[in-house]
Amino acid sequence: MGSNMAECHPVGFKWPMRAKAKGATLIHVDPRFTRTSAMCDVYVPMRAGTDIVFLGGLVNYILENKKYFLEYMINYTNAATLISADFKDTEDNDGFFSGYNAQTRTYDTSTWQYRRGPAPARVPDPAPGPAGATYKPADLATLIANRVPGQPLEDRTLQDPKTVFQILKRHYSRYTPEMVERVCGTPKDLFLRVAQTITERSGKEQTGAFVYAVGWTQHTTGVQLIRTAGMVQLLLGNMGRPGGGIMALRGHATIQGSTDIASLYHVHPGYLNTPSARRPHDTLRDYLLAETEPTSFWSNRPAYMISQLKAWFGGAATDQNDFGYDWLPKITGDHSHLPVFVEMSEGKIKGMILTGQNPATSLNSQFQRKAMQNLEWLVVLDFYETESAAFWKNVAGADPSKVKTEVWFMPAAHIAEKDGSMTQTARTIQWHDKAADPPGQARSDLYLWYHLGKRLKRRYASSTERRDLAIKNMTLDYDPDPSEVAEWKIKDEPSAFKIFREINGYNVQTGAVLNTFADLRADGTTASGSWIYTGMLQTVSGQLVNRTRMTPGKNDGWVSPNWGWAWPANRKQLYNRASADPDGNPWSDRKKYTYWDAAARTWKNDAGDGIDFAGTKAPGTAASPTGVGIAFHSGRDPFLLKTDGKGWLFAPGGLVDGPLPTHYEPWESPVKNLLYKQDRNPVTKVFDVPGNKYNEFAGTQFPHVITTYRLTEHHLSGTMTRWLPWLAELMPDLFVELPPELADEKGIKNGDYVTVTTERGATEARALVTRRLRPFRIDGKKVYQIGMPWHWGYMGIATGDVTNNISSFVADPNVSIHEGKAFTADVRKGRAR
Amino acid sequence: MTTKGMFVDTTLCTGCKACQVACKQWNELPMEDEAAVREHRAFTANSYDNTGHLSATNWRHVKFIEQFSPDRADVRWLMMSDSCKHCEQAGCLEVCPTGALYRTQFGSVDIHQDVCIGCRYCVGACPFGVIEYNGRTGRVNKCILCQDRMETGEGTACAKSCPTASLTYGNVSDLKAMAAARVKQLHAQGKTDAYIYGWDLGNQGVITQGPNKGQAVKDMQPVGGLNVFYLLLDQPGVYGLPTAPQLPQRNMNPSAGVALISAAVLGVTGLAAFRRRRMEAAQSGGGAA
Amino acid sequence: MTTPYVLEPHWANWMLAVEMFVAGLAAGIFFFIALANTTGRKEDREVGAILGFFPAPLMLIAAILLTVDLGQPGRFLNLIFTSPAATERPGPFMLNPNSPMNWGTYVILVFGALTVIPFLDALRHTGRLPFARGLVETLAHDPVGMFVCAALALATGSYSGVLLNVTNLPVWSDTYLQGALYVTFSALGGFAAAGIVADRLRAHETAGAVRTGLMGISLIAAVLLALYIGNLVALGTAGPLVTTMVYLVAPSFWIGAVGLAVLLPLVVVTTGARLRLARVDVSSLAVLGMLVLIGVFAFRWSIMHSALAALGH
Repeated sequence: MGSNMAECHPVGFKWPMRAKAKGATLIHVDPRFTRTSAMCDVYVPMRAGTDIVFLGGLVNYILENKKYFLEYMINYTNAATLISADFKDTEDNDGFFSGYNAQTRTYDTSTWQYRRGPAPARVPDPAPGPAGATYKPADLATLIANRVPGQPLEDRTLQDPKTVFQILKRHYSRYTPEMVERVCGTPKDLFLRVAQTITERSGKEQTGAFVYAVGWTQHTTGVQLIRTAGMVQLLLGNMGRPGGGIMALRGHATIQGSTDIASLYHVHPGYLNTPSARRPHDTLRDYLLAETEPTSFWSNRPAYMISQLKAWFGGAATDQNDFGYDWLPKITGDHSHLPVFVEMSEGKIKGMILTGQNPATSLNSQFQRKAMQNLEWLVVLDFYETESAAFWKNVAGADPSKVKTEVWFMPAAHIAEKDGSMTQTARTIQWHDKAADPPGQARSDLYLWYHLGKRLKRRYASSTERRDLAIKNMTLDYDPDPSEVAEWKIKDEPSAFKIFREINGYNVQTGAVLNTFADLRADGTTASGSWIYTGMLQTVSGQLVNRTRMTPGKNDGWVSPNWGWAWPANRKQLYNRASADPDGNPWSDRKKYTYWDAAARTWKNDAGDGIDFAGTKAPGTAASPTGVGIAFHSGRDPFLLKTDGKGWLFAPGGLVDGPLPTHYEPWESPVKNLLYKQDRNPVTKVFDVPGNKYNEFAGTQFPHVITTYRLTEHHLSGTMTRWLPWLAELMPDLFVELPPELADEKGIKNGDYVTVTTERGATEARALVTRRLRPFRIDGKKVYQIGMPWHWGYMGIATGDVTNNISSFVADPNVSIHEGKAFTADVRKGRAR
Repeated sequence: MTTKGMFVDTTLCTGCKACQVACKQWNELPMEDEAAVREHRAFTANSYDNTGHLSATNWRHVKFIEQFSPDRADVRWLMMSDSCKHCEQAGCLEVCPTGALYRTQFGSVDIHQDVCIGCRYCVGACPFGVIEYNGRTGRVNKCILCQDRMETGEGTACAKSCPTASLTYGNVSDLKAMAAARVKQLHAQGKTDAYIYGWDLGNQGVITQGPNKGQAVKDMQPVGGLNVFYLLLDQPGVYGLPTAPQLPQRNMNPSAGVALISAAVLGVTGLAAFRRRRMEAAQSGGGAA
Repeated sequence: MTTPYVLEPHWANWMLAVEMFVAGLAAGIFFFIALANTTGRKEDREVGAILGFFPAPLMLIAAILLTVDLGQPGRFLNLIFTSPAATERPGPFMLNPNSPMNWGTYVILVFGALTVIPFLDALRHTGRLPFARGLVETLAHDPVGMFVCAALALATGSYSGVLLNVTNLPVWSDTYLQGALYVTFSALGGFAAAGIVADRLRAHETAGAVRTGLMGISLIAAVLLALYIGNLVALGTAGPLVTTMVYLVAPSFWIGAVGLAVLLPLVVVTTGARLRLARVDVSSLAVLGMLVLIGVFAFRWSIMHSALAALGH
């Protein structure tokens, strides 16, 4: 669901096919019948943007029919936890939760909190150090201990109406199979077949998995949507167990690595929040206190942050200058893609460097191309002249003098032309070696940033400006050893391995590589670029071992711990404590995974996976009310990164739009919300700027639900694939898939040119009339589902119009992801011009 | 040397076309028609198939057949990766007048590019429409079962690239056993549509979905057997395959025989024409009109 | 409908249509020459001698067309001498009895060589042969030799039809009659050409034989065509020949092949009628002969392109 795995992850799809050969049932829920649907046992049609109703319907089915895995649910989730008496659900509040501020369009989450017992006794906080050296490592333990809250209160009979269990039941009471049919357009019997199948196949003897991709993320309710699936899996006892869980299919070869090592503005590598001017992050001490969760594994955050600062600034970072924290720039708001381009359109951005990104074909692409005209300079590093590198050709037409931007196009080295590691979608890091020099002047992204950095360092070497200190003081010493580049003609390519080693981490004094993140310290004696990666390089018997190198042909079982190295600590199945019952025994022989060996007093996993738990913490260990970190959790709490060690059916924190997923219609929808008076997510990030007009909600001018998606034959905006002859001919032209019923109404024949329109603009495509798309019946009204791939642009061998001409700037409030999967449009026969 | 071939299990085909691209890459084949792609004339609107058919530069072609009832109750999308079948009795090889087409030590049908004179007779002889004339080189081309890879002990590029092992390369005898087991497994799961096109392994079934629902299907072994053979889920015609492919030589003796008889009749007619004329001339006494 | 084939050839067929006409005509003319030269009558021999000019150059043109049509014309010798790269074939001659294209090459090679006899005889007859006049005259009129030549002529006339039959293309491979039809039209063309020459030479008795021959051969052709079309209709593949406008197949078939080549001579000769069209005496053998030749070419054209039309080319 929310994915087209066979088309978009074709190699990984061999695993579901093998499971199918062994008797697994594959179910595909999607607005379109795709190549994935063709391979699955059951195809379930569903209107784009209604996943929360479908998944909420599953929650409802599980609760109403008592299909939950009771022992798992009571012990491993917060089902029994009591929530604040002031909490009001959307059922009481016309589709809002308690705490909504209509002025600021934000929620105050204080009424969503757990009810807790009394907090432990506190001592006075030690005073901070002087300005510029506020943090004193010796005081850390006391400070954190002072912040340990009271233990959450529970009702293990699950009767109290303020238990999470009862709140859940009430919240999803109207997400019935009938409602699923009305809102999603899914036939009731098909929905029930799915519900029956997943509940029958879950429990002690069997588990099931959900697999998703951007079909779930790219919505204004994307995060909540995914969370609903998490709840289903927690209720069914599928999390942390072999064959269970939720597989997030990431979309590019090492996008997991790119988020792990932070190409996102709001997190540092290892998912440490970026210091923000809007949060109490003024000093290092403030930051550490604000960010460190005293009662989860994140209590170690200071060690990770300090080690990172040591990695970045080396010897310049000491306990006398807050380890360089003050040199870090602080964010002042949302600096994700859409707001940045709004600022660009207002002339506030002078220059841009694009390495492997193509905004000229991104959302509301005309807006973005127009915004780019305000740049004074643009640098593009890519294999081919992308639409962004050539944006000026597109906007200026015949007269380039109309665009003042100076554009630098730099050819990029290809994957086989550079060393490095890749982190794939299951967190497994794999090293790969350079096989050939790039041709001519093509260079890697790493080369660009490294040599740019070196030049900037030289430029700022004698600067005293505060804003230059970070670059001035950063360590940038990755020149390769001669042996590393002996066989290549490019001798100044930075050493990826040295960076790799720094990310892994080392002891500052001895230089020895660290084997585990448990060795990281908050006192400046260790350095590590990203704590989650610590251990991918290890010292074993005095030898340096790269655990991410794969050993082909070596058969080490289905877990394959030697096939690359999964962060953290080579744990393939996260939270695998949950694969054993509260006493530490496997739930069943068939699903035996991690278990407690009472004689040896240690946890074991015969399949070879890492234990995702404190190795010698007995299952019967009581929770310590004053315990810091995971000591606060009992021996029965598998979810280490949560403050209570439990899986969150109800989310008291971390999300800005509600503790429970709630169905809101997509920002543009042809129908109103059948469940609540509040049609849409009240805290959606909207962009009320010229050039971004939204289609009228539930209007008639743009009556069709449109979804955008990918094909196997092309990748993203086609910057690589539409230039490759063998791929260009497989899918040469942009098309829009239309059900024949709609095509007949509009007089459109298969293959005709058609134009798809929204308030933002028009995209021209060829019509592919197919019954794989269908009209839906939404509450009795006929609503057409149409769809377009978005791989095309004006550069390349196979060119075409840009699908994103018609999409808009609108985003999920938690993570700023855009809503590309469900909006509205109209379609007419004929060309755009 | 044991005969090598491929088993194409269409139930595992996701239509990804990795096989099509791997073949082009390994054999360094060009695009079908670059101008058409650049000028937007290449889009076929035929499901997800824009290359249309096998050609001299397209030796593997994935077909897509959508079977959707108007009420969407019966939904199926068939996919099949097509190529040369390397027939045990190969029409192309039998008609080749120069010995350019030949049977390799692996039992496959390969082409001596140095010998081919480009007469295109093989193009008309193949019952499956596989081999094609290459206007640029003046010779013919088709899948050659990666002869160069087989000679170094490797399998075909397409089978190697297939992510779901829908294409499997190996000894034909092993592949037949694998195919038989697979049909059995599918029938046991209720998918009685499955049968083998290429060898008669004794399977019979009934189509369960699509417009031919209810029709019987059974294994077939045309032209002595196909070393690249298929597991199909519907009638061959649905996949664009002939239902009764045969060697063109079936016509040779009958045709030559009838021609011989005609020649004899013509000979007699010719002689009679001169005789009768003569008799006419004699009767009319010289000088006909 | 059972489909023994599925495919889409790409090739320019006009060259082959012309070649088939030219070679078939050479064969048909030589067939007539063989008959005429052995009747013993002086008039026949005169016509036969003049006709002798044509088979050799026609076969030369045919051979050139066949070679030029190849994708690799320079390699045409691979048809006869096994290429060293064709290591599976025992040398030195390339022999594939399963391939009409292969054994047919030998047929036209031998037949082509033999066309030198009537050519030399034509030279002798017109006083242009400075040597071996007696030998040539003997060779050109020896009954056994001419029987052999006639047999090879008929073989040449039929083999390309057999070649088309031994394929998996629609129309071509749907019957067993392709070779028979080809040799019949070959004979038709030969008699038509003979008629033109006989008319020009005012060889009335030979003309009488031509007329009788045309009547008989066109009758055979009519019967064969009826069987042929009937067979195609029964199989459901008649359309590409009898109705399609692509490459003008249907018009050239009905008007040319059926009308001009078969029905016209049949009707004209049987009824003995005098037909005048636009002041042209159609029943004059010269005109009739021209029209029949046009019809024979139309026959070759329509058959050649029917298979392509069937596959949407």
